[in-house]
Amino acid sequence: MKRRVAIVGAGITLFRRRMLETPKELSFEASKMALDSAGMTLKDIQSVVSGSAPDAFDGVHMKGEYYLDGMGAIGKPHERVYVGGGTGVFTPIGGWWNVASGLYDTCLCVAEEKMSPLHPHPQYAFWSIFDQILERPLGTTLLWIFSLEMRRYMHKYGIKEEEIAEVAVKNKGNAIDHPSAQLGAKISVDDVMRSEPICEPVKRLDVSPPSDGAAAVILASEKVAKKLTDQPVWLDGVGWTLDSTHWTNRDLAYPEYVEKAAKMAYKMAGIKNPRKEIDVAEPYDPFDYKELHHLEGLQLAGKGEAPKMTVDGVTQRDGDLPVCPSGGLLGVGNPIAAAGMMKICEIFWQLRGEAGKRQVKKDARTGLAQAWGDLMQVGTVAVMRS
Amino acid sequence: MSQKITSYPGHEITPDELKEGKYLDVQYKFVPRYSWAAGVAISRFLDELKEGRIVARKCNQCERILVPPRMYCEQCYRPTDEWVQVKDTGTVNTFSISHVGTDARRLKTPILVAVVDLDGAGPGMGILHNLGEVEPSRIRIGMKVQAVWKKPGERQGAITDIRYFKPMEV
Amino acid sequence: MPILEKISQSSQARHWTDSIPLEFHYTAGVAGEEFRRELKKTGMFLASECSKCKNSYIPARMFCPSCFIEMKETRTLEGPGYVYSYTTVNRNRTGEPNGPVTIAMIRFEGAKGGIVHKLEVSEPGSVTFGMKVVPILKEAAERTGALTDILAFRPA
Repeated sequence: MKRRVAIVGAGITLFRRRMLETPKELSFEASKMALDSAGMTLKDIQSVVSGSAPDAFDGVHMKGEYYLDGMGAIGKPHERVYVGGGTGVFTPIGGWWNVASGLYDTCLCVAEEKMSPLHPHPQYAFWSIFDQILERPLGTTLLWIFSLEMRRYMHKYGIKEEEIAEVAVKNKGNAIDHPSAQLGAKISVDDVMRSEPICEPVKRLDVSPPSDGAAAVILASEKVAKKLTDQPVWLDGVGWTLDSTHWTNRDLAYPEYVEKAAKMAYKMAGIKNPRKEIDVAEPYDPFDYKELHHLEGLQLAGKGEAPKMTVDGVTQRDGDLPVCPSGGLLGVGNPIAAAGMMKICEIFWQLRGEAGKRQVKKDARTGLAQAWGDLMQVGTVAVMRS
Repeated sequence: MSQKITSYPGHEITPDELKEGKYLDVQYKFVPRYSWAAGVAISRFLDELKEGRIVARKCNQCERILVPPRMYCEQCYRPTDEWVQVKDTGTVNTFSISHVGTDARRLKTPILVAVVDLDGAGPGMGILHNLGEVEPSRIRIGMKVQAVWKKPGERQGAITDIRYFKPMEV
Repeated sequence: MPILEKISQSSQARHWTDSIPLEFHYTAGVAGEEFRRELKKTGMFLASECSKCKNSYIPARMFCPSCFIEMKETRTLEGPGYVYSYTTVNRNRTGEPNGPVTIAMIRFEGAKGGIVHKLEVSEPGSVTFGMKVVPILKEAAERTGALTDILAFRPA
């Protein structure tokens, strides 16, 4: 018999290309901010769940063991979880188990990422994502999988690059109002189309940047949450699914694993008609076409129909289904694990009406955050309600 | 809470500060070397590539012909049954033109890469490889391509024994 | 059900060799930068003090691990450190003969934490627990703030 879990506090650092802080200090800044926002101290936290991408980025072996004092995890039960970019939403899912099972009443969930130490460019570590025998000798870069997927998606549904560019325009514009944002800016579809091609059809303004940053949330059981705040945000549905690394054998135009993860979360939260019942969504957008790809996987748009929703303005902050009101990864930044957690924090603030200039127009009661990662493999979904 | 907080923590290092060397910079270089076991299936795959052939495994239950070959079918979750040779021709499933290299530096000559669905393999069974002898602007999804192999004496038993795929002569 | 087909001759078992060259540039962090600046300028060690539990930590840190609050106060450590533990090493990282080199964990009175560094001793056996030690520093003009500004520690 599982218990209801609430999110009671959230914290986030700046997201920038290079930060002075060490991983311990970044974790501390986000964790302390989350504790202060909930009116709690470290003594109130019973367990810690952390998420961070592979050690190859910041060059510290066993980094879960390294940064844990920045998360106040000394002497406490601590687990590190990781599923590539999906980690940011997988971390609170890991924390959810801790509280829903009845084992603990409170859990601090922190996602931290420091990508800047790797030279010449953080992207280089992704080279090892490919099969060492059959793929790396061909001169692979991470961008290949995105551009191959984008091309197939555009081909299957007849989508134009201009329609996809609308997502970059929307998200970077939304990010101007996010205090942590790295790349908030007012750009046009023309700017995107004229930006230099990196790996066709992907162009410079279609991509999110590598970043350093950390974000944290605090989970609590129903009993504790009601004592701490009169506005808990309930983590009502969680779902996660992975697919195989034989990605060349899959249909690249549709993320089936995101659909399965979403259905798992919807079933748990009792959602029968996602398009009607979800008020605000934060799907994972490392590339602009990915937001559309994921909206379809999350059953929030029919196959091939997400571009039209964007062009029609449905996904703007004042639209019927606001998507990425935070500015997403395209605008705020992409520290691999912390990016998904940034989305969880955003839904938390949106459902409490605390998002300031980013607050969506409609009365948001149910929100969704989704992250994705690895070799186009994992979907992690969280459904939250106020 | 986000509107009540006035400052968000973090100290940025700007590109200019990086250039002027304002902060301590401790460097560490190392080169881990690996010798990966190819495994039962890929060992045979590489042996066959050296002979100029592409082989796959068949699962008799779902009847898929799996390439890259594997000793177990991940959908039926049982061992695969037999070796099958597939053709070295196929169809372009998706493609890209890459202007950056592995370390994010810009390339002078772009790399052409595609997922090629091989003829004789199951539906949607593709492998990743380069394209060559083709003008980038003329590449299309659905284009028929054939492998261009290295000379027999040059082959080592590697994926690069196929130099690239080129458009099939009509 | 076992996998039915096996490799019968070891020559059929192929392997693939490659390397993944990596280069890292680390920052010292917010507190680490202050520690580094002090070491470069004056050759002294900077410790942080927690306003709540009054513990001091060396090297300087941003936050107190037990009270979990930011530590804003710092002080330089006066006086020598002492040897908390030591060992003698005869091989380098790749296993070749090197040394003998004495490595010590050096702590300071009144502060938690310590510094691990080389110890210059006339004879390998002459180190004692609690022995007072001081750093041998590079010339001020050569110092960058890295821990290698200290060439080694020596008996006081």
